[in-house]
Amino acid sequence: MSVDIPPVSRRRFLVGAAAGSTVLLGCGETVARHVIPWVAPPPDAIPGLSLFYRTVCRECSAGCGMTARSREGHVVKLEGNPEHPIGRGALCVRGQAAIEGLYDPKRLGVPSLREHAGAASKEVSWDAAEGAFADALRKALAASRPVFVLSRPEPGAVGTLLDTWLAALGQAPGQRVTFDPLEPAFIRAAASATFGVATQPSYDIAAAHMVLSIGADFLEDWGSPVEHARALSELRAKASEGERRFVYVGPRLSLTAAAADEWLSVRPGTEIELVLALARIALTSGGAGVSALPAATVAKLTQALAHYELAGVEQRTGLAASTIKRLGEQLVRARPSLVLGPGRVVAGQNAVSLARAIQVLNVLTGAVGQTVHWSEPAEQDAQPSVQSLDHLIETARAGRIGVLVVHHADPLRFGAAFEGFTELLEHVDFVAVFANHAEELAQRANLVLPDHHFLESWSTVSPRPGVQGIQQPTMSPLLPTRAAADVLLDAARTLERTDGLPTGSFAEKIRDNLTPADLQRGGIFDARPVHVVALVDDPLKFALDSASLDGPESGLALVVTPSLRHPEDGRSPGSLLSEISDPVTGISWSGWVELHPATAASLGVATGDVVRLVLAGRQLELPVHEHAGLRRDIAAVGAPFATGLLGRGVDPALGLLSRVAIHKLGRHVALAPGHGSDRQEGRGLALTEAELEKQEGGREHTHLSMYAEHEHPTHRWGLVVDLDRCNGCVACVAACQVENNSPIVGPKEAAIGRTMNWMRIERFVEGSAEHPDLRFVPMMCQQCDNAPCEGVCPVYATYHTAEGLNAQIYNRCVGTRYCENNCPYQARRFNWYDNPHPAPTNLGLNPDVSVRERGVTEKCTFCVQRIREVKEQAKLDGRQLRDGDVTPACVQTCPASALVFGDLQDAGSRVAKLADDKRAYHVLGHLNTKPGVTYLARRRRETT
Amino acid sequence: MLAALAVLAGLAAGTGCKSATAQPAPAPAAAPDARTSIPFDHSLHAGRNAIPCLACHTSADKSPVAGIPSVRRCMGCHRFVASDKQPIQALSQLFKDGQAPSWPRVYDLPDHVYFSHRMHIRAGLDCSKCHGNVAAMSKVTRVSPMKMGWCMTCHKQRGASTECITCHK
Repeated sequence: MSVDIPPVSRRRFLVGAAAGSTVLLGCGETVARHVIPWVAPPPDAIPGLSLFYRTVCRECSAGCGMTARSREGHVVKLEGNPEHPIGRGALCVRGQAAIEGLYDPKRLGVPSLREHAGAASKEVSWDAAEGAFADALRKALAASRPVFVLSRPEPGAVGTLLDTWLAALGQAPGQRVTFDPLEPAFIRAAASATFGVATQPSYDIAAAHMVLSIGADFLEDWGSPVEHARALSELRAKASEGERRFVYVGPRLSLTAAAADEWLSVRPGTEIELVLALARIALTSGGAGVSALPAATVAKLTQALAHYELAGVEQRTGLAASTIKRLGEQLVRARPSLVLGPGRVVAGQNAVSLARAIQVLNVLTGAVGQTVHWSEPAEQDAQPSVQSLDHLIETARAGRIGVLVVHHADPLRFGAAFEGFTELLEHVDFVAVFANHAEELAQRANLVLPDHHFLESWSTVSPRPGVQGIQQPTMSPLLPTRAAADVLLDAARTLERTDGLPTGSFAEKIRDNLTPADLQRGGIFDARPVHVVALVDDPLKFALDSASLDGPESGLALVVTPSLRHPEDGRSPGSLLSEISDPVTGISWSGWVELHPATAASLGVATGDVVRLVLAGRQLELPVHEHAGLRRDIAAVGAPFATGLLGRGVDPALGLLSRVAIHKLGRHVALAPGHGSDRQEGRGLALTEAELEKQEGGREHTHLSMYAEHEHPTHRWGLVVDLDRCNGCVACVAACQVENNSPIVGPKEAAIGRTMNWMRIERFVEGSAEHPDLRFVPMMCQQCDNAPCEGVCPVYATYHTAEGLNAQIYNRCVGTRYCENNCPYQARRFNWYDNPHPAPTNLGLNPDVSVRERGVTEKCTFCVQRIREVKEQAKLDGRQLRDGDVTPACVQTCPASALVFGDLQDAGSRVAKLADDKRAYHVLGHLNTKPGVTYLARRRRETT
Repeated sequence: MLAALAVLAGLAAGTGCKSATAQPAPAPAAAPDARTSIPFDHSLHAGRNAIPCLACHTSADKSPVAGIPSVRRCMGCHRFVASDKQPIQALSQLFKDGQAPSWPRVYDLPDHVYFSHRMHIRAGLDCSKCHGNVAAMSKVTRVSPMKMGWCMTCHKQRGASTECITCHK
């Protein structure tokens, strides 16, 4: 059979070949598409333009302000709200990834009901579901069986409604139980013992001249990570104004410890000895707060602290007496100083005593009132969560619970820790669960009532007095869900028990109290007077447990470490959070146990070897990751992976557990390599100021070129990355991925390095084996002026724009990967597959960025779609661009303000000034790439 | 409102080439369906009644997208005008049912092309430059090829940007 091949020109052939390899189906003219107009447009919506709604992030309890960008009625990007005092425009990685939950194909949309115990759960109509709910409540009330509400922390309108609703049903206030598994109840308990105030203080990290963190991983899970990251960044920026130090004491070099000037560790469990020794120094060497104390208190403190002289503490903690003395003197000298803690990794049996010791130390150094503030106690919800969960369990054991209403809480996610709760379920007549996902508890419930996603609901959120964030819907509900508050209100009306409850819908109730200005601002914010606290008469009157840890004698102390990439309430993270590498270890998707390399060697295991951890009969299998930033006498497991080891009744907020035995299993797995080498191998990628000075500018290449220089007639876009401010929190990575429709490739592809993120955080381990130093380098396309990628593209798909960007034209790219091979920064990603965006996830795609196909190379373009949008708007407004008008997604979300973007040709711009800073350098500048991204070397951090 | 969102899904499917392949545009239901059978005559609206383009395609000068009028906008006039005619009654019924017609696309750029109506109107181009004399068309047909070469000819003549990234990103 002969085939007639028509003559083709070279260009036609290339076009055909490109079409064949990149599957252009859908872009041709033959596929008829329809255009469907709105029936009635959403208010203010103009197709093609964005609308912005202020709301509050509910991914954790910090309550950062959020701005949702909506296109054609769908949220496509989440950013911070610059007017909100918490977050101030930034979001963390979890906040950035919240959009994934909104469009999660597995989100619940239809109620389901289990007719009787043992029956299968069936999807039912809302009428049937609400009828069943009201019936169950009616039966409980008739039989005088109590109704309990178990909810996540709801400091705001929903919490008030839950209280009022219970009261309207004639229930006691104690029957509303707040489940906040990681709430450090020990800090409240300690404040009660130290000051007689059972509330959480707030901290002013940026104002302190010396910050000492006792295991408080405040950039990760200790309080409000975005707010703390900003404060620490401000503290760093002030370093040139005088002595500013941040010292971290804890068993593991965490993200927070890596941001410190100095990382120290003491024998696990002896942190309290160190704190008391520091208190003794403050008391005897003129701490700023001592003179204000009554003589009797001073006498009692002197007596209580007498035992903690340096030599003894050195022996018990393993920390040199000279170091303790230096720390103590620095704390006294720095005015004000601040001691934070205790964090989860040091909170064990002595947690309350340790917290008390820290509070006393803060009084002695004069920090209380300066950097540690208490607000009026009446304004804070003083309900300790664990205690009332116990009350719930006790009531159930007596066989007396009629209905348990669960509102976004699930103790079953914490393994055996809340085993009592599992039994409780058998003593409840009817369990109704408001949830977004069919997780453990929802699967056991009698009735599951799908609530709106938080981006679709009304509420107010007051994470602390004086801050009332407004949570407003940013889009119409995607699924036929109903607001939990309205379901509760309807039930109360059906039962004719509406005392004190609003008459209309819950949304109306909230809206009625707000002005349009409040909604646009995103909340009502005012400063509240601080509450002055005073030490009780004998603040250090406690009996210390001996610092010994239980468990097998030969085992290692188990430390449960925080993770920024996992929701605190135990929900499983979405695929975006799973795929972004853990910044400390570089691992994505799977769990791991960290061991010091020396400890691993003594156990005969290495990175990737699977081991079995055994603790009091419970066991867990995890692969080993060797981490030099770990004490040799501990094993560290991330909190999301440690639930299998939690024992019954163990408070998950305590992260310092007993000793575990570790057994080698002989299996090996490949842990997803988030990046290449742990070491810089002398490449000078992540420099400190001192290292930069040593180079004497010798590593920048003397620019020589055979070609004419690029001209930038209007702008040359540039980015400055301040490595002194960057703490490696990976918020930028998530922001980039969401903004630019970058697909998730999954664990198998991630393990062979095929992730599609255009931006990543490079992590390097420097320093000595005893004093490792973690360095983070945000790495994205460097937009080189002399770009190695551009010259090698055979089809001119990548080229240099007049504004200095290395543009990538996806419809031109034929996927030779030459550019990727030639990029020394590995900033280009090749798309191996057509990555599907199944409904409804396609609704969350950014319509301003093309969804790339299989077979093309992709890369960062400084969010060129944002540059264009701002330029168009400026043109329409008839004005020039101003510095700060354009903000790429990574820059926008950075909690530490480590990234600054702008026009390098505008001498007055912030970016141009910073690019001339004495700390400025180019990564691999000696390759003569002339990058548009400038890095600022990390300031001096002595590890004495 | 839910209906409005449902139809938006159709619009969004047209924003990404990939989504168009992964999730085909809503296929017209089996005829006869009021959503696909309503006749619309531009020569009647823009021609005989001389309604300006921007009266219905309201965002053409404000947004990259010109916009197809919402059913509510149609009904703004048709509640009173020609309300006795069958097609208008069909439209009116759709509106009552919270549904919208499904118009076949006449001009459809590939998803890797970024085109901004507002910048072209700002540059002083008349709609007819690309869309032809719609006022004389009973059924609109495509008068311009909408191919890259055609765009570039005009961009070169008028000194507009010819950078790839102006239209592709």
